[in-house]
Order: sequence, then C-alpha cells, then structure tokens
Amino acid sequence: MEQAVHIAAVTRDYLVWIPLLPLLGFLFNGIGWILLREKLPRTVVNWIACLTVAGGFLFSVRGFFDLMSLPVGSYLHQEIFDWVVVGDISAPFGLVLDRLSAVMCLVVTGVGGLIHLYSTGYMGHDHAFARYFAYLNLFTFAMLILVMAANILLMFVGWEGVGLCSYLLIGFWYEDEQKAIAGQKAFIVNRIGDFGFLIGIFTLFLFTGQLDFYGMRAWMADPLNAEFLTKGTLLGVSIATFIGIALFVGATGKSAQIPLYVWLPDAMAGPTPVSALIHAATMVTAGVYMIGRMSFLYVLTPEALAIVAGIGIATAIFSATIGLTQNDIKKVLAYSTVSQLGYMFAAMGVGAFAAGIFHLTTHAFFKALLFLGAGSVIHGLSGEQDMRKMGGLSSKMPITFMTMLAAWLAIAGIFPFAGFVSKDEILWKAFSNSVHATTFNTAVYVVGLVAAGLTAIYMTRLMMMTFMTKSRMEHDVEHHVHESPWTMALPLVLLAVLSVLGGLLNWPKALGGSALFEHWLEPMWPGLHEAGAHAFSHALEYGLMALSVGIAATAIVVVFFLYRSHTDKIKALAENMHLFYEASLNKYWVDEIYKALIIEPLKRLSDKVLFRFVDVGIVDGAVNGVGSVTKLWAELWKRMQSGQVQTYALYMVFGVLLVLCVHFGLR
Amino acid sequence: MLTDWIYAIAFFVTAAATVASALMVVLHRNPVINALYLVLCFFGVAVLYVLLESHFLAALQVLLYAGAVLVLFLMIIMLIRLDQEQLMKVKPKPGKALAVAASLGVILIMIGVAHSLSNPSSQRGPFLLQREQPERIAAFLLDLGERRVDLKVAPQKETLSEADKVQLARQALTALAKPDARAKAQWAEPFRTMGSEKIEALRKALLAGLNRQWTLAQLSAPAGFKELNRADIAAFIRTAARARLTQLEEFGTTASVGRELFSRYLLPFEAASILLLAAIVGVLLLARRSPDEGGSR
Amino acid sequence: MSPIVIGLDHFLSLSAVLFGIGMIGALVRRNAITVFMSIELMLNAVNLAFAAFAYYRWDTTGQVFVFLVMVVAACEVAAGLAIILALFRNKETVNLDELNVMRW
Repeated sequence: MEQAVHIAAVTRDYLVWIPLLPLLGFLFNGIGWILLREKLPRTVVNWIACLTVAGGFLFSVRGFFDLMSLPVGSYLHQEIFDWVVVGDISAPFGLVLDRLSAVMCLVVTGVGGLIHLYSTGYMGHDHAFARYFAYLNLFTFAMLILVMAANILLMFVGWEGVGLCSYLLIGFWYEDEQKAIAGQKAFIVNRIGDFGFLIGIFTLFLFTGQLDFYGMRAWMADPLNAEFLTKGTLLGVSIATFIGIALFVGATGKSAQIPLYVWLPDAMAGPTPVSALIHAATMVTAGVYMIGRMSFLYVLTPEALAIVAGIGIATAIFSATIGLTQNDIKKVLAYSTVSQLGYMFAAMGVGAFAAGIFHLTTHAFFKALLFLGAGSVIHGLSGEQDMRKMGGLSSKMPITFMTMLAAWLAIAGIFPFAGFVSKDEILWKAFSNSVHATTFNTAVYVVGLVAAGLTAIYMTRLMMMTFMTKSRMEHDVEHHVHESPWTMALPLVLLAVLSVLGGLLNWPKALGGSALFEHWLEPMWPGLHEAGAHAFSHALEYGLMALSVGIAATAIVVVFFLYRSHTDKIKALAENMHLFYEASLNKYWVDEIYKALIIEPLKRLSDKVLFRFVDVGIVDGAVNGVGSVTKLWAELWKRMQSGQVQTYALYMVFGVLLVLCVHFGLR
Repeated sequence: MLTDWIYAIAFFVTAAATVASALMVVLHRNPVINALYLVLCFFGVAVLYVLLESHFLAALQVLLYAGAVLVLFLMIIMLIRLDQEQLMKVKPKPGKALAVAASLGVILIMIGVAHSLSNPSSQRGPFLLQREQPERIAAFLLDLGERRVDLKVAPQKETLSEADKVQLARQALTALAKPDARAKAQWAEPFRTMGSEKIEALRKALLAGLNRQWTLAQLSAPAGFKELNRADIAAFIRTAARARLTQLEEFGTTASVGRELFSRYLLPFEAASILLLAAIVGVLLLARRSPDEGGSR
Repeated sequence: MSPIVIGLDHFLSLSAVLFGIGMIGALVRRNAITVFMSIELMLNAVNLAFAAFAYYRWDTTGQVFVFLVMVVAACEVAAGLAIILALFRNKETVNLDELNVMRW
C-alpha cells in the first residue's frame, strides 16, 4: 500500500569515508608496489587492505543506524564537489545513503571485507600480492561509488570502474595468455552492454532533463510527466520502455544475463577470491541494484519489466542446464551464479523489487561462501580444480566441508536456510504479482520451479563429487591435502552463519514473520501496487512453498544416492541423453556461435571494408589523389614551356590582344 | 585643294610600296632577299617622314637604318652561311596560323581605334580637326597689322571671322608659355625687357579674358598692367602670334629637334649615349671568338 | 569633288598594318635573322606613328621619341646580331624551331 512519504535529504559529512577509505588503500598499495615491489612488507599490505574496507563497513553501519533513526523517506546525502557543470547539465560528485544504498553498502563492505581477509591467506604465496590488494581495494571503491552515487552519471563511473577492475583482476595472472584473454573478453562484453546503458542515459536525459536519482523520482511522480513517458513513443515503444530496455541491456552485460553472460564462466580464470567477490557477491549484482534504483521508471513500463523477467528466468534455467555437466568446480559455481542472477532479475521483472534485493543479499552470503570454500578446496589440493579428481574431502577438510554444507542447503532452497526464504519469496511473487497477466506469471513460476530443481541437482552433484564420494585424488595431491589457515577459515564460518540465519531478515508473513527487509525497503518503490498479493490465500502460498521444498529435497536425495552407490547409472543416463549431455557440456556452443556469427563477420568487415576500402581506398586515396591531381595538372600545363622563343612571343601577343579587347571594349 | 590631292596620292603610293615590301620581307625564304626588301621599306618610311614634314627624321632614317642597321644585317647573313637545304620550306605548323590570326586581330583593333580617333561624331571629339594651320596664323598676323612681312608661309586667302580671330589669339597665347631668350630678343618694346613672371601673368590674364568670351576689340589692359594701353595689348598679341608662327615654321627642322633634345629631353639623350656605350661593349664581348676556338682575341 | 584629306587615322592605320606584318613575321618565321628583320619593321611602324602624332599636334616631342627609338634600335640590332652569331657558332643553326633546349 502506497503511503505518502515525505522525501527529505539530510546532509552527513561522514558518507565520503565509505568509498574514500578503500581508495586510499588502493593508492597506498598501488604506489607502494610501483616503488618498492616485493620489498613492500606483506603484513603492511594485508592490514591496510583489510582495515580500509573494515573502516568502510563501520561507517556503513553508522549510516544504517542513522537512517533508522530518521523518519521514513529521509535519506543521507553528501555533495563532495562540482563535477560536471555544462550549461543545463549539472552532475555533482554526490553520495547518497538511502535505505537501498545502505543495504548494498553493508553487503559490499561486509562480504567484501571478509573476502579481503580470506585473500590474505589465499594469495599468501603470490609474488604480486600488493598489486592484487590494490586492485581489490580499487574495486571496492568503484562498487561503493556505484551504489552510493546520487546521479546516474556518477553511477556510470562506478559501473565502468568495476568493469575495469574485473578485467584487471581476472587477468591478474596475465603471464598466462588464456587468463589475459579471459579478462579481455570480460571487459569487451561488458562494454557492449555499457553501450546500451549509455543510450539509456542519453535518452533519459533527453526526455526528462534529469540526472539526479531523487530528482528523477520527483519528476516522474508528476502524473503529467509520467504520462509523457508512457504515451510518447520512440522507435515503436513508449519512451519509458525504451529507456528501461536500454538500461537493462547494460544490466545484461554487467550481470551476465542472456545474451551477454558469456564472459562470466571464462572469468573463473582469475583468483578464486576475485570470483567470490566480484562474480558472486558484488559486481554482477550491479544490474539488479540499478533496476531497483530506477524502480520509479520501471513501474511505468510493464513491457520492459516483462522483458526483464522473461530474460531473467530464461537465463536461470538455461545456465542451470549447463551447470549440470561441468567438471570444473568453479565453472559449476559460475553457471550457478548466472542462474541465480536470473532469479534476481525475474524478481525485479515481476515487480518484487524487495525480493530481488533480498535474494541478492542472501546470494552474496552463500555464493561467496561456496566460492571461498571451493578456493579452500583448490588451495588444499594444490591447485586441482577438476571434480573428477576430488572426493573424500569431508574428513580431510572438515571446516570447509561443514561450511559448504550450509551453503549447499541454502542455495538448494531447503527450509529454513536463507536461500529458501529468498528464492521462495521470488517464486511466490512471480506467481502472484499483479503486474503481468496470469499466463505469464504461471509460465515464469513453472520455469523458476524447474530451475530450482536443477539447482538442487547440480549443487548436490558438486558436493558429492568434491566431498562425499570416495577419493579420486592423485597420490601426491592426496598427501598434501590440508585444511586452510584461520584467515581463510574464519570468513567461511562467518558466511556460513549468515547463510543459515540470513532468512530471519525477511521471514515471510505467511510463516509468522514480519518481513523486516521488505518493510525496510518499501519506501524505495513509489508507484508499486501490492494489491495483487493479497488476492491469493495463504493456503496457496503454503502449498507452493511445500512444492518447491519438496522438489529440492527429492532432487537432493536422488542425486545423493546416484553418486553414492549407483555411479554406473549416471553413465547410462549420460549416454542415453547423449545429445543433451554434449550440448550441455559444451555450453550449447554459444561461444562458437558468437564467434562465427558476430566476431568473424566483424573482423572481416573491419579488415575488408573499413581498412581496405575506407581507410586505404578512400582516405589514402583522397590524400594521394590530391597529390596526383596536382601532378597531372602540372604535367598538363608544363607543355606551355616549349623552349622556343616564338611561342613565348605568341603568348605575349595573346596578352596584348586581351588587354586591347578589354580596354577598348569597355569604352 | 590640289595640294591635298597631291598629298593624298603621294601618301597612298608610298604606303602601298612600303606595305608590299614589308610583306616580301616577311614572306620570302631567302634572308638576303628579305634584307633587300627591308631597305625598300626603310626608304618608304623615310618618304613618309618627309610627308610628315619631319625632314630631320627622314635623314636620320636613311642614315641609321638603311645605312647602318641593314649593313649589319647583311654582314651577319654573310657570316652565317646557310645551305640551300635549310632555306627549303617545311610544313607549316598549326601554331603559326594561330600567330597570324592573333596578329591580324591586333591590327584590326588598332585600325578601328585609329578611325574612332578621327571620327567627328565620336565622344572624345574630333581629335585632329583642330590642327592648327600656319596659313591662318599668318593671315591673322597681317590682320593685326604686322608690318614685317617675311613670312615663310603664305597667308590664307579667306577672311577670318571674329570667332576665328579669338580662337587664333587663344592658340597663340597658349603656345607662348616659356619663350626662350633668342626668340624674346626679337620682341618689340616694352615686352623685351619685361620680366618673365610679368609676361606670364599678363599672358594668363589675357587668356582668361579671352576665355570669358571677350572679343579682340574688347581686350583691354587687365588689372596690374595699367601702364599698357590698347595698342600695347594688341602688340602683345601680335608678338605671341609671330612667336607661334615661327614655331610652326620651324617644325621638323634639325634645329627644333635639337632644341628639344638639349633642353627638355637632355636626360634621355644622355641615357641613350650610355646605352650605346653599353651596346658597344656588349657586342664586342659577345661576338669575339672564345680562346679555345682558335683565332685571335 | 572633295579631296581625301590624309588625317592622323590614315597614318595610324598604316602604322598598324606595318606593325602587324612585322608581328606576323616575328612569330612565324624560322630563321632568326628574318625574325630580327621583322622586329625592325615593327619598330619602324611605331616610329611612323610617333612622327604622325608629332605632325598632327605640332609637338616636337614625338620626333624626339623617334630619335631615341632609332638609337635604341641600333643598339638592339648590334647586340642581337652578336647573339645570333654566338648562337650560330655553338649550335651550327639559326633555325628557331630547333632551338628548344629550355623546354620542359
């Protein structure tokens, strides 16, 4: 139910410290690395890196409590300096901490801080450690700018910044060419999405004249303006739809949805903590955050929301099918991330903004945990990533095993873990929302349910192959298997606690809770009507809840027994569904299709047309042509110099004739 | 009238001869023949000079051109021995036709201009119809009462009208500017001893008066010359007319040309002599054989 | 019958014709010496014009001009023929069509 909220900005001077501390960490570590290289003491680097992020976390907490004490609708805000001032356009470097930003900041600095701590252990033997932490701090800075930006231009700076850091960190071990190429792929695919984002920004500014988020919100609150956006058309769709789709294109790039998800599996070439931080918890969630931030625009355009939901849920099931057959532990998790992101977008697409953000938060907990745990496994196995060569680690790496167990149950959606609460909320809202028609809702729900089942299957498979089956490790690897140090274990434990208890943040009303999280974020979504949710009965809600849990549990049990004792049946299954198995294992050859359909033609276009024809032919031709024309002209006229005196005398006579004609003709 | 006819016939005959010779100069193959026809041309031009009463120039033409320039030409033709083959005609080139056409164009334009100059109805006025005739001035002099009748020119028979007289008086006065000492010595009193500025002032005043359409009879002493009476003014006019007549009689003589050369045109005259010097030196340098060619320096 | 009074225009037309003939000769003939002679013809035509003007304006200035032109013509002929002589010594020809060393 919409309440009339009074929006008020409250200035606070400490907001700048939230992003500034990680930035200072970046500068210190970066410059220190450049000047001192390996002489820079590791402990100093570690402490600086972790403390700066921790400082940011503390300020975020302070901001959170500050917000709690203010009336609903108020937000914290600090303008640092005038950044862009050109004619009508004014985009100051301003930071905003409202309810949504506060949640994001806590996730980024909190989970990020834990990952920083983990990295001190994981990257303990790497020689370029300072560079790593410098990039990690820079990433944190950029991400915080993204979530705290007061206007969309500054948000785009953060958007680009995290893309850059993603590239730097994926290609961290750039001496290996494959890893460097992976980083490049991430950046380029991101860029393609960013183009769409820019078109969205331009169109937005063109039609509304607003860049500041709260300014936009106020502008669109005016029914006349809202009508202008919905009734006016641009290229066949309403203006609001156009902007929504354009911005969403950017989100597909950043948050790895169809069709721009292809960089994320390759991004596993980077260090595992990087995968945890960037490609699980924070950067990839930027797209979801963006839609939440621009909710006041998206409520004006059910068409764009339908596209968001459709692509989101399609991505969810598509990448879930790929994750079923992968053998690299990190690749499974990568496709899992893409799938879960799809859920988040599906949530945003059906108008369940709070549910989407909540799933973002819980996913940060358990996916970061899963990645860090995988990193712990890899670290313990001296670098082995192929699950076919793992097994039997439950006894050898107990802490890792226990914590990953928690994450596994969370992501599979087992009651009462965090993942269950958030995923189920999404499924329920998909089924019951009032934004779209019933058929669409049902379709989204069914696909989401199937994808949930697949999630349970591949995650159980992962756990079985890694921990709960007999060891298939190589001998020397098996000898050196060891549990991780406390720097790596502590974050695992903390995240496991959060994965287990996180559901309490948003315990659904149907089960007796008060949905704190949803309530907290409610003032952020003006114009959202919750009427539809109340039309359905609680009984239906319980029924659907039971259905999803039941499917997940069944899947777990089946896979458990298959891997425990009937591995031959797995092989038979793989052979029976041979085509599907091959397609899934080869990720449906999407990369190859892209290469053939897009990359190769572009390369050929660039070479044959733009280079040969335009650059060499036209541009060089024009320049050389000027020279040739001059030469030809000279060749033509040099024949006047015959060397014979009488010729020159004749020219003089012509001149005399001309002068006479002119002079006496004019008389 | 008869003289007009004679003059006309003489002119046309000479002109025809000259043009014909010129054509032969240009058209014949043999350079020696060309040179000989050129002599004929020069003589024709000399005759034309005589028709134009420029006797000095006529003499000079024959002396210089026919006597020096042509001799030089013939000498060079002799030194440059050309075989008969080289004299043969070669196919004419298209450029040459163009040259001929252009030259013809120039000629025609100039003839057209010449005609417009003497056209009585042209805007610039009949340029030449105002040519002074010494016969009229002589008649004017007699009319004014000049007693010394050593006129070289026979005065014209027809009587002069009042307007004619005024015009002649104006011409005479205009031409009196800057009289030289020798001429002045022959003037009558009191003008002989009058200062040049005074004479100039008197001249200008009288001219102004005549321009204001006074008649000769009305001419009186202008302001500042109260010592002169009518008779003196008449005498002045007579002096002016006589001076003018002398000038016209002397036209074309060596003396008159020499007078101009050594007074007004002294600088060009001296420059011409330097030019001659330069030409001599230049020719000597150009024409000597170089040492390695053999022959004495 | 009115007589034809020879006026300035007749003399000027004659001068023009002579000048033109000389110009044709200077442009068309191959022999350098003949070209020179045509140039002398042109100079004479100009002299004629000057003298005519002097006569019809009773101004001795024209005759002085003629005098100076004659002087210059004499110098020019001397120098020019010396050049032709030197040319002949070097090139064995005075055919202007063959003398095109300074062509493009």
